[in-house]
Amino acid sequence: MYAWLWQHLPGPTAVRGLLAALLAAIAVVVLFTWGFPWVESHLEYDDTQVPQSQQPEGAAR
Amino acid sequence: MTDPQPRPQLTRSRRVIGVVGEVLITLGVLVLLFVVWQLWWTDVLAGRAQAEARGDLQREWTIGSADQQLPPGVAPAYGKAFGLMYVPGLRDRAWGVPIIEGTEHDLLSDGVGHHVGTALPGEPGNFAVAGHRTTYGAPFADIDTLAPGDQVIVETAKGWYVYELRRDRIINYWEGWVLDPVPGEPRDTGPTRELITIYACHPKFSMAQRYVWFGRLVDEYRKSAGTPPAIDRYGGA
Repeated sequence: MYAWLWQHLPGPTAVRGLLAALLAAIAVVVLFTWGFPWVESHLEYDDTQVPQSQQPEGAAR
Repeated sequence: MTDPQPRPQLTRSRRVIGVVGEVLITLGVLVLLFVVWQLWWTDVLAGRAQAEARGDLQREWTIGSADQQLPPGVAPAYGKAFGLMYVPGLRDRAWGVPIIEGTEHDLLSDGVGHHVGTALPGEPGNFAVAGHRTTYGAPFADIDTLAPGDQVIVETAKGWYVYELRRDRIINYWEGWVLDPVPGEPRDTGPTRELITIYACHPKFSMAQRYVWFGRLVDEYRKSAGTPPAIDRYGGA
């Protein structure tokens, strides 16, 4: 997978290294901006609030 | 220059194993990156958002006229910051944290959230506020270190409201009674005095329970009277 990517990057080793780093940076930005917020919205493990309206009558005190 | 070495022919199964290995390594890196994002980057973003909301509010209050102020009983605009909260016992993270109207996940990244429909600062009833325990600035990260007698100071366009915490309690996540006008009394009990409830997730990194503090109003100051002594004592707003 990564070997295939490396072989298809153009230029000498230094340029390939730079391009690979650039691709990795783009991946991180995309993940931080859109990917992880989306994942988090599906995990919903830090939805802090307690229920306000659907509280059962005589809920445990 | 010599000719490149001919690549050794990998057997098909070894190549498959190689790709599986790369996929697993990639997944591991993704999980690590997610943790970095959650624990570090959300704090950075929340810090910026909260500083901006705080600046906007303070500017608004400086140039604000009396007619910009809400008449009693009128709710602040949903999703907007309407006040600042100062908790001397949580000064690292909850000093001038914006109070947002609403408690949705997306709003709590900008500050702490006021439960819509509960009392506003200084009003009779229960001023109920939720905040993050971890991530997104985590204003209530150390809510478990507060003690009875600790203060929660709220600044709005109208004035300063000093609440004193009285007792804490750990509840299940579904126990909405803590938001009642008088927590612990039947729901239809009318508001009798100015109370506050602040809470966050408990234990840290879990959603199973909530750490709750109950308190009551002990002092209030008009804006024209300057900052309350409690604020000055801890280094100003």
